[in-house]
Amino acid sequence: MPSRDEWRVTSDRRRRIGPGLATIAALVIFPFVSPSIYFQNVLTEVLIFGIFAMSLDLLIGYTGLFSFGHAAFFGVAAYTAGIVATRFSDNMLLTLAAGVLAAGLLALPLGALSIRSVGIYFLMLTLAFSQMVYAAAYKWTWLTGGPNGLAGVPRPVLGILGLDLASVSTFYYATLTFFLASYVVLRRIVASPLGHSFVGVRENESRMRAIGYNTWLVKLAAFVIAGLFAGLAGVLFSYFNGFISPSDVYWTTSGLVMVMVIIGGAGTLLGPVLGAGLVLILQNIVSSQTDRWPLIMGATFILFVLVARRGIAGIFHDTLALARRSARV
Amino acid sequence: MDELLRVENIHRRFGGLRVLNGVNLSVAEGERLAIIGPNGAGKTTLFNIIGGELAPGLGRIILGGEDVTRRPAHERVSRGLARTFQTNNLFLGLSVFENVRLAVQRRQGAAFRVLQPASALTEVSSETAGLLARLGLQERHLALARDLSYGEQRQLEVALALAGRPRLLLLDEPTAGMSPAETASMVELIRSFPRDVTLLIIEHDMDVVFAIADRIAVLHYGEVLADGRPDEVRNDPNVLAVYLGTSSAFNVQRSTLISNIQG
Repeated sequence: MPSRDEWRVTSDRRRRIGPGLATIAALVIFPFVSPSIYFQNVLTEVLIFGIFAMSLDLLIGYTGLFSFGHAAFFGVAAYTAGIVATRFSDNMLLTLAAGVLAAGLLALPLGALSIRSVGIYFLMLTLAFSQMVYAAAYKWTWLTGGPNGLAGVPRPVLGILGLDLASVSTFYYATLTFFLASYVVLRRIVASPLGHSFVGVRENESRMRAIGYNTWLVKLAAFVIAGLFAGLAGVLFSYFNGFISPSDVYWTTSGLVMVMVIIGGAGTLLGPVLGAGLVLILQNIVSSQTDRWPLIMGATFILFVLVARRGIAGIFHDTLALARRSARV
Repeated sequence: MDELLRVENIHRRFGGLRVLNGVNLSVAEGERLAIIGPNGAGKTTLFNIIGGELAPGLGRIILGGEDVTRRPAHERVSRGLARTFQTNNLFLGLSVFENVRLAVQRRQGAAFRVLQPASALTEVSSETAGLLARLGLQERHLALARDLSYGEQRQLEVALALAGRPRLLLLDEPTAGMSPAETASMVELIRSFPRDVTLLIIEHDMDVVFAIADRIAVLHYGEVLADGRPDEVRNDPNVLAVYLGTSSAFNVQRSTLISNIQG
């Protein structure tokens, strides 16, 4: 019998510490290498949407739940943080806690109601619920500013550390910290017994029930955790943008993050982050050249679905495997 | 002996087709009951109702003295029930080890833990390794379930069920599609189960039935036609007429199985 350490798990990748540290180092020195405020802002946005995409990957890639309403949690957290910051206090801990908590509290009932159905019905239910959140954001002008959006959300104050998050590079570092923490926590979750339960549901839900799993509860856990992390991304987005509009809760935002997950490679956590990077950078570059950027975006998406089903992560994986094989020959 | 399972007046229809028509069975703790019957007799439907995958139209399922008719499948598992499926029902994209570990972590109550990596749960890993060794699958622990041979997949089916340490184990045609050698080792395995595990087994291979069962129930068009010790059922005129039939093919089969028992 092999020793315990040799039991390999398809979902835990062997730890590649080297490239990981190099990437972190590159992200840390980036503001020094590129003092351009524009690129620091683009990268900050990529990291925020990276958290958002990773949270959806927990549902799509690990649990097999194709949620088409993930913007609801992003948006509710962004609005909550924005409302708290503009009306009560711009204390970071307060706005962060309020936003994330609101997303979790919304994910609980919406998840409980949606996960009873599967496949296309689940997708339609999550879409419908998120559109209800959009309608509320649009109609409740007294609370959300309605179609005009919620303007003037201040950068939060971190009193204890005396950090000024209004500065582009400080905010970049704060976002990077949240991103890395989210990645570590999500990576630990997918390696945990609960994470394996998620994968079991994705692979064969009826068999999970037959070996004693309450799959409803497993799926609800995935849904709420994903909602919390989408909420974190939403809060960071409200700080970043200083403005929240109903379109941040609209189904196109849910669609955008789903495209990020699929282009990046579902079920890999980091793939969707790369997907977020590709989508946002492409959007920034192409939209400065032409108004027809959605056309380019759509074509890119079709290309991935047709020739690279496993996304950017899949391309990386295959290229590495090919390089190793040719190195051996 | 104490009664572990009672199937009470179970009816079930699919559209206009009455599949089960008032089935009654009582299974004692430690008993090994084979359910036989021609195709379409309702055997698998009965298993699905006992397991909780299907709801009966009428009737009750009593497990360990408790009415579980309205309980979902996973709650019946925590009351000691486990089952295998007629067609392999595995986690095809996961390794053999991960397949069994999912069942083991559930039984050990660790399925919802998030603070440790799954690989750090030594008790789950060692129990999983032990089960794989018992099933002869230890050499294949890294293989994906979809890459296993058919016979190995059948063994993995049994491993997933055994991982729940069941009091009542439902085996739906465990040797279906197996070679004679694979069948023999499966029979060996089933016979090696502890005597306190109550077995309910659907099987078409009469050699397997007579090798394992201490009691046989014959299901015919959704009703229990005969229920008794193997020798009683074998000589029951109704069973001979209806199940074994009068065609020459069945007579050959019948004579071999009778000689098997006598031998």
